[in-house]
Formats: sequence, structure tokens, C-alpha cells
Amino acid sequence: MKLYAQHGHGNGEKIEEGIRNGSIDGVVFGPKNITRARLLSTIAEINEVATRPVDVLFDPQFYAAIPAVDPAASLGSLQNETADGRDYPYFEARRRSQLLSEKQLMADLDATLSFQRDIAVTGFIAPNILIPRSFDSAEAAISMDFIRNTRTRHARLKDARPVYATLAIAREALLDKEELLRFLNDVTVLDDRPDGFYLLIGVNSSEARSEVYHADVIAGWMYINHVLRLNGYRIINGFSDILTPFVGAVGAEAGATGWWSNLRAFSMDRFAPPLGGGRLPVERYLSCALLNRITFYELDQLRLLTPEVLNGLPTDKLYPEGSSQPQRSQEVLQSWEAIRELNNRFVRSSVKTSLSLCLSAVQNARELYARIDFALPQSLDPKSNEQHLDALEEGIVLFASLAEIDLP
Amino acid sequence: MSFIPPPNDSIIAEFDGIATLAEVARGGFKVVYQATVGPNTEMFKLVCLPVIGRTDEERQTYRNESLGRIRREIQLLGKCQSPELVKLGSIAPQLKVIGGQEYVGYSEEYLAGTNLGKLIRDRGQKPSEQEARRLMLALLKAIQELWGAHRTVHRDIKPENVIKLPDPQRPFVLLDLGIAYGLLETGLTHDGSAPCTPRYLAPEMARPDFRRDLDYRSDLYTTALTVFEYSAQMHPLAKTRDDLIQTISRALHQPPRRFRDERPDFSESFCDLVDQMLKKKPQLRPSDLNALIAEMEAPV
Repeated sequence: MKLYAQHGHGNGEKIEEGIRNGSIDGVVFGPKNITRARLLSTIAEINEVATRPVDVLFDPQFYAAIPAVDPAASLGSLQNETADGRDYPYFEARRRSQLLSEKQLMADLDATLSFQRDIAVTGFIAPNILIPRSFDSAEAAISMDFIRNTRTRHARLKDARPVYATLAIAREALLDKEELLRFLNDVTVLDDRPDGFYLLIGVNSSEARSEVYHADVIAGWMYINHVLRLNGYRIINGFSDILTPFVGAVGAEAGATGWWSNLRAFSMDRFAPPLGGGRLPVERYLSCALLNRITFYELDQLRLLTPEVLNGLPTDKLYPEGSSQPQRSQEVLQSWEAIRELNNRFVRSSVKTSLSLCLSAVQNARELYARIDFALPQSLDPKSNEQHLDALEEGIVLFASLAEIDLP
Repeated sequence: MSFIPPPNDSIIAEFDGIATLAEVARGGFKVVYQATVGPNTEMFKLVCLPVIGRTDEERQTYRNESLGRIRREIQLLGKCQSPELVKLGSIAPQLKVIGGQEYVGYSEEYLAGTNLGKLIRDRGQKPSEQEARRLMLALLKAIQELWGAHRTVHRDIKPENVIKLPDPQRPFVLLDLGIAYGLLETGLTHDGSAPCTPRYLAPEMARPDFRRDLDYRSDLYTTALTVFEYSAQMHPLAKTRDDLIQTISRALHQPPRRFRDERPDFSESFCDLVDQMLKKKPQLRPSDLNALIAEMEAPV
């Protein structure tokens, strides 16, 4: 299974470093946080440092066209204008009613795909909007129209590179299983099939851990991957972060994550008018054994009390004994390497075997948390504790039930 | 329930070109004969237009339904190119009245083989994986033609409707499009019930509103059922003494036997594919026909 960098604000040299050391297999660029000129030069740099083929994808962020009708929306470079014109000319604010017009929808598909033809991406990502609350909605119908027409509009470009339809779904929509199943029934019998899907599961706030770590959301996310894979599609999961190996276990081809919390969970709040303020988050360490990130100062304590929290991977050295505080720019390198390690541990050719490995890992994490609880005088930070494990376990069991798989 | 067909002489007298008739099979309202037509052997089908219903209107509805079904089967057969589907014979469909009863007769090509239902009942040697894959391939190609070219679902793929031929170029042929369902057509079973054989019922077809979402994945399910039963000489779900309710209940709720448990000598990948095609939810059945066909055509 592949792991990509989810590009966003403040790349610096992170992606190049990840490519150079082999912890990531590619990148999904987001135009909000990069100008067209910088995008082109960064792609060139990536290809220069790569010692093996890397995947370069461009998420057109068309889903931001709906919030873009708000003049205060935070669109960054999506609106950038230079002497040569707009950096991303395919991007325009759109009202929902405009996209109910087939002519407009086709024009947006054509413009977005044509833009990518001229940059060195290894596959096209088609535009789409977010399905916000329910599959029984106008947005879902528009989304389906984008998906249904992705292959035929891509074919007009006569370009051999694969095309991925975007499927962006708010977590709330996953809670109604009947509607989800009905939607997937339609998606899986398209006449003109895209090569795959760029799958995004949206939360209301990228800071709210419980929005992702919810059994129905995890089960739904896994189920979509599983169903699409069974039906011959390749699935790239954006913003999948630590769930990457769990979706990989059921058929995903790739997952992606980045360095800020808004690159680890997909949320439209990135495009909301900026509130200002905020402070830099504390650096964290992704422990494979805990299936979670802990703060560097928690790591500093735990590495002595329960050394199993350490991954034993090369990037452990970025968290030096004595303080365990890494350079902020290097935190993501540790995340990528840890997720890659989890991918290697969980993803097998048999879904059933992979699920068993996932469940065992959850159980092992429970036991380790219990030992930490016994050894540590104070409670872990709320984001570091074991609350994600119930959702993971329940999510896997619920997924297996939906997928008609008997767990051992 | 079977009806009593008219004497052979009466049939021969009504349908030009038939020299001899020998009954091969009989169903509710249909008799299939092996017929000599000029120098050739063909399969002649005589379908009785049933007189059912308490009122003239009901009787007319049933009659029209039957006629529509026969007309559709014949039109579809005429359009299909795939060698995996049976071809029409030389006797064009004709409506006749024999002994005061209406019949439609027409012919199909004669297939000098045995239907899989008989082979299963005879409990001879179980097929090799290679043969089972050939069966799967033939049915997939038939589905591809029906769905890809004609937007039609067969809806009655089962061992009795598949003929095994001693011809390596054409090892299996799918018969009986009598209840095939075109998506653009009106449903022809007037009471909304699923017009298929209960033992070979795809779970989604048990829903009252099944027509709304019906597609070729129902045929994928029954293809897997057929491959399973032919290979294992055992139905993955149904039991002989089950009544209708039990049969449908099993289709809806009971996980099927694992194919690998019944044919441990087959490759894991083929067993997994059959098991996956037997999932209750259509979306869990692999639906990429081109990929499935390529997989079956690849060397084991």
C-alpha cells in the first residue's frame, strides 16, 4: 500500500525529504497553499530527488467552489492572479443551483481536467463537491453526475494517465447505512468507469478527534474502500492519516497525510473565513503500538516506563533521549514512517487476515495503555489517550458485518 | 404444475416444416421437443397461453403477459451474437389454436449436449477447476452480451438452463431468456413477484421493489450459484426439503457454504471469487465484467 504526502501550508522541504528517504510514495498537492509557479518547480524538485517512480497528484479542491461564494472565504492561491492571468483558472465560485446545470458541470469537469493535462501529474483527479449530510440530497445527485461523467470527459483529452473521480462525503452521511448502500449500488455499476476514486471523508473540524474516531464513520470509510476495490477501482484516500492502514487492509491503494492537523483530517473549515489567533500545536510522536500520537513530553516519560511505545524505526532518532522534542519540521517524517510501518504490518492480500491483524493491534494497544495507566502518575493528554480504540474495534466489527465477512 | 400438450400429429399439422417431434422437457406452460425440420434437428418450443383469471380482464392480462414474454425472448435471441447464448431455429414464432387452446410455437437451434441439472442429479465425476472456470467464463460472456448490448438481465441462470456441449469452442450454452428483463421495458409479471426459480433467487430479487435496482449483478449471483452447484454437486444454500419460505429465507439471510470447503482442490483465488459473487449485497459482488472475463481466460 502506498502513502502520500497531503500537501498544505508550510511545506518547506518536507515532501522532498520524505521522497528522498523513501517514507512516502508520492504527493497530493492542494492549490490553496501553493502558487502555480511554485507547484511546477516543486514537482520538478520532487522528480529530481526521487530515486524511484513517485506519484504526483493534484487535488483541484473544487469542493471549495461552494464555500467560495462567501467573499470572506479563505481560498489562498486558488484565487491567485498574476500578470499572466489566474493561477488556477478552472476554479470559480459556484452555487449549488449552477451545478444542477449539466452544461456547467461538464464545463467545470473539462476545465479542471484540462488544467492537469499541462502539469506533470501521474494521474488526474476530477472535480467534485462535498456530499454534506445525506446521500439523499441535491449535492449527492450533483456528485454522482460528476462521477458519472469523469471517464468520458477525461477520454476527450486522449491522455493515457489514469483518472480518479473525487468522492467527498461528510461523516454525517456515513451514519445512514441504508442511504450509503444505495449510493454505492449506483457507483459500482457505472457504464463509463474512472480508473479509481480520490476519497475524502469530511469532518466538521479537523481538531475534533471524536468525529473521525466513531465506529460508524470508520466502518463506512472502510466499507466504501472495500466495495470500490471489489468492483475494480483503485482508491486513493486523502487525509486518511492513521486510518490509512485500516483502509489499506480492505483494499485501498493509497492513503495520505500531512504535517498539520488540517492535513490529517479533511474539513471544509480550511476554506472558512479565518478566525485568527491560534498557537502552534505541541510536537507529537506517532506510536505504532498505541495506534495514536502522544506528545513529545509524554514520550520522554514513557520511553523509560513502557519502551514498547517506541517504534524502533530510524526516525526515532529525531526524538532524542533527554527531551524527546523533535524539530517541528521533522515531526511529519516520523508520522510517515510510522504509518508506512503500520501499512506493512496490517495489509495482506486476504482482507480477513488483514482485519485480524488490525484487531490484534487494537487489542495490543489496549494492553499497552493499561500498562501505561498503571505506570504513569498522571493521565495522558486527551488526544493521547485510548479513546480511539473502542471506535476502531467497533468500526472494524461493524465493517465486517456490512461486508458479510466472518471475523475469526 | 404441467399442462397436457396436444398430440404430436396436431402440432405437426399446424406448423409447416416439422417432420417429427419427440418431447424432451415439459414445464408449467411449455413443452420442448426435439424436432426434425427438413434435413435438420432443432428444438421446437410450444408455449400454451394460459387461461387464468376470474374475469375476462384478468384472463386477458395473463394472456398478454405470456405473449409479451415470448415475443421478448424471441426478439432478444434474434439480436444476440454470443455463442454462449442459444440461437433461434428456422421456425418463426406463430400463434395457433389447437383444440380450442392458444399456443405459440417456434424453434431454437438443437444443442447436442446435456443440461447441468441432469449432470448434477446423475452425480457423475465432479468437474475439474478448468471446466468450472470455462463454465464461469461462458456465463460471464453471456451476461456481458445481455447487459452490455441489450441492457437485459437474464434472471433465471441455473443448472437446468445451461447445456454442456462436447465442443471445446463452445463448451456451455445458456438457454431460456423467457423471463429476461430489459431495464427499459415494463415488467411483465403483473403481480410484481420475482419471476425466477426460488432455489436460484438472488437475494435482492426477493424485495417487493426489486425492479428499481435490478441489474446484471443478480445474474452474477446465480452464475456463482450454478458454478458452485455444478462443481460441488451441492447447492450452497438450499435444501431439498425446504419449502418456498425457507428457500427464500436462506437466500436472504443465511451465509452460503464456503466453496473452498467443498472443493479444496480448486485454487484459492477461484474459490474466493465464487464466494464473493455469492454475497447478499449486489455491491459486494465484483462487477467489472471485463476484468472477470480476463481472469477466467488467464491460465490457472
